[in-house]
Amino acid sequence: MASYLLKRFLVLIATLLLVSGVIFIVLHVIPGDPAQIILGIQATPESLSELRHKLGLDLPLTVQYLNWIGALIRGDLGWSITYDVSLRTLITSRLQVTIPLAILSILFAVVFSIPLGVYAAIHRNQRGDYGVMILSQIGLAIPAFWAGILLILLFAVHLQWFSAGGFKPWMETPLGALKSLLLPALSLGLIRAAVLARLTRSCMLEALGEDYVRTARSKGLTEKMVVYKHALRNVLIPVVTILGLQMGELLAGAIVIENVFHLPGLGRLVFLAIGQRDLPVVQGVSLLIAFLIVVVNFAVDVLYRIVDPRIRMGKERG
Amino acid sequence: MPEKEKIKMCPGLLLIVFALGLFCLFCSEALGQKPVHGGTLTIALSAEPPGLDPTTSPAATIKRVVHYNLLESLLKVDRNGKLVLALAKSYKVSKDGKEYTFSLHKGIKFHDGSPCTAEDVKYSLERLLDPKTAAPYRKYYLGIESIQAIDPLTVKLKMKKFDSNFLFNMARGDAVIVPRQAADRLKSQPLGTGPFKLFEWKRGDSVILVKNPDYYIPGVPYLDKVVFKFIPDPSAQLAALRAGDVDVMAYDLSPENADLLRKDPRFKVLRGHTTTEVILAINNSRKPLNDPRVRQAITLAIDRLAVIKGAMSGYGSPIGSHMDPTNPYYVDLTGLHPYNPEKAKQLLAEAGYANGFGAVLKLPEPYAYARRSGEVVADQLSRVGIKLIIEVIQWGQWIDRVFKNAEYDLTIIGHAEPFDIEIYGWPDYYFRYNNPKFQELMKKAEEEMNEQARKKLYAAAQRMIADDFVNAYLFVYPALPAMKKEVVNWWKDYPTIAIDASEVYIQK
Repeated sequence: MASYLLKRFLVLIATLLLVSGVIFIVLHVIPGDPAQIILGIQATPESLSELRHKLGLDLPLTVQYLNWIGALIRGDLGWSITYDVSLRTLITSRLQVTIPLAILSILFAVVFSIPLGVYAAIHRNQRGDYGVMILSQIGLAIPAFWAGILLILLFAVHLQWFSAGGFKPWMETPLGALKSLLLPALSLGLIRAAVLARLTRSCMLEALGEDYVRTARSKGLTEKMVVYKHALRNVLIPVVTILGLQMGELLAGAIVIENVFHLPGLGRLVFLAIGQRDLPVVQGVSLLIAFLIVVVNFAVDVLYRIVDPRIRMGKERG
Repeated sequence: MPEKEKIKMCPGLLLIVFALGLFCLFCSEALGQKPVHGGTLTIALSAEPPGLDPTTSPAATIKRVVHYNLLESLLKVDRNGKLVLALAKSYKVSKDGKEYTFSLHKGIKFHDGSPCTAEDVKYSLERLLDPKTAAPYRKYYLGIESIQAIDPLTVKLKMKKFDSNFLFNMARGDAVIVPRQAADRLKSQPLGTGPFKLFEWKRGDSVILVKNPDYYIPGVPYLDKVVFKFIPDPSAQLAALRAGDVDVMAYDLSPENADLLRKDPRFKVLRGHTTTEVILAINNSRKPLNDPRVRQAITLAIDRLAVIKGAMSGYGSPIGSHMDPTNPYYVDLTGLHPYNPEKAKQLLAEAGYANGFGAVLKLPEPYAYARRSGEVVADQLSRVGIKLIIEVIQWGQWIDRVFKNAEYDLTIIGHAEPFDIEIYGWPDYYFRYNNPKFQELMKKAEEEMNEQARKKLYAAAQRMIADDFVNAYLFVYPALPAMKKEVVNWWKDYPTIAIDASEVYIQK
């Protein structure tokens, strides 16, 4: 296990270095001089060169890159040009939105999808199955932002149960914070629930046809035991894999939903920062997202070993 | 700018204008209403300001939030587009127009309690002129030769030469008066003299202002708290307004939603002007667009009213040159070169393009008005044989390719700066319009001290660029502020960038 962890750690470092290089190069290759974007189209050349100097943009690219990496190693993430605040403060406050939102939407997805998928598989080709399949088809077809707008129209504009967006900080009102994340999490969770429900159903169907299920049945176990104890455990492996992939997607892909619900999350931060060429923020946040995705993938790998004894044994023997 | 007019006619006259608060009190009482004190007003804006310092960034989003509300200049542009006094109680101009003497109101205090004096005015303007500050609009103040604080309430500016736009520039958000001790922290801690103080900037969410109890105009402001809430998506703003989360949607009501909201008895939508001229900009240096006949054909092929109808649901006013109707120098030139597709075809044939030609129309992605107008314009031009390929490009690319390097044929963009016709005098500007006659005209207008003569010069300038068909002038972007019925005294027109919340109140 120790050598495995070390290997994973080295992969993590290599990935981050690679990502940092790519982010840095891309940001400097795409058109749009940060100084010009900050000072606008009427700025004089003197003001522009003064600002470039202030921001360190007049240094050679390699020096800029090494300065950035050096600061990162010292634990200094950087300073936002537009917000005039350290990136650490900025990211900490944004993660309070993005992480709970991701977890909540995964929770929604899992709570809806797995029971529905199992139910559909057990009642294959019956009315309930068709119902679940139609629902999941709709879930797949509705983009998250559209679902968000519909939810706002229903729950905020007409019923006025929720506000139409915005975020109340956890420190001020934990319940309010949770409430402000419910609708966004639901709209993000819908499409994921649809994917997972279909996956659970098909995996469950496959599992129910396997030899070990027949064995279990012939042992005289109740159908409940067969489904939940034997089949479901096997079904969970692909489900966990997809969930892990989705988690990464959630962190990076909540941008649209954060815009619809105007949540001050990480996605919106990086989206605005790209527009304003706030390079320290774009670089820092992209790297953080890459880091989180790598860590989540690692966590998923570990989770496999818990869910599936075969992987655990196989790896440790080898 | 009638103030200037008076000065020019009788130089040396001391002007005293009533405090704005009294004026406004009078206004609302004339309507039979008494302003209500107290309450919180939440205003939705789409873009969060990149920092809160209006002097080191040209971003309009900054001035909207901080200028007038937090930070003030000596002069300001009021809701009617008139130049009026702000921190200055009065000012004098010398006969040769090269010396300005400003007197400050007594008892003005910065938000930290320190007094605002002539020394602070001197410091603020010198800071603006210092190249190290990297002020984007430094060039507007380069005419200042020296600044002298005569006594704590009087400051004298000596100019290198007379500049007719100088007073207007002193009303800009760039020329705000700030204390030395806070100048370095303006970006996150703007500290000024305004009717409101910064309470908190929740980055990514809102800027919260609270009433300044020590404001030098008694009785103002009416509101206890103003919250600028940043909601990027216009439809999300609309939902927030309808759900009761925000009270005002200041800028981003889309024209097609204006009619919808007007039908709802809980809200009102004002219909006014902005200073944003939306134009089809033409690269005058590129073939075949360098031929004036071709440019004329483009103008004649465009039916402005159809563009306004198709792209803006009918909101917006047509323009015939580069000037908005709130400007005192505006002349109506919409009838000068009216829609005439037949003549456009004829002109194209004369220029040797009887079968038309192809060109690329680059549209900036962030602006819906530009994208939509682009589609209508492309359709109209195709009817006279000009085939446009539409390319929607990112804002950074637009700045770099189109604006800086003039790598484009045609583009559509709104010029938001108030009173910016001078850009046609810059040969390197992205239109690539190089007409020495126009440049001469601009110089004359800037140096002309007689108001009537200057008015004529600016009228001639508007006509010259219209007759040269530098660009095709489409419409002035409409101001469509939408709010709850209870919100009173909001500006109908937006003749300047700032949002002034000091006179707004909530009727109970």
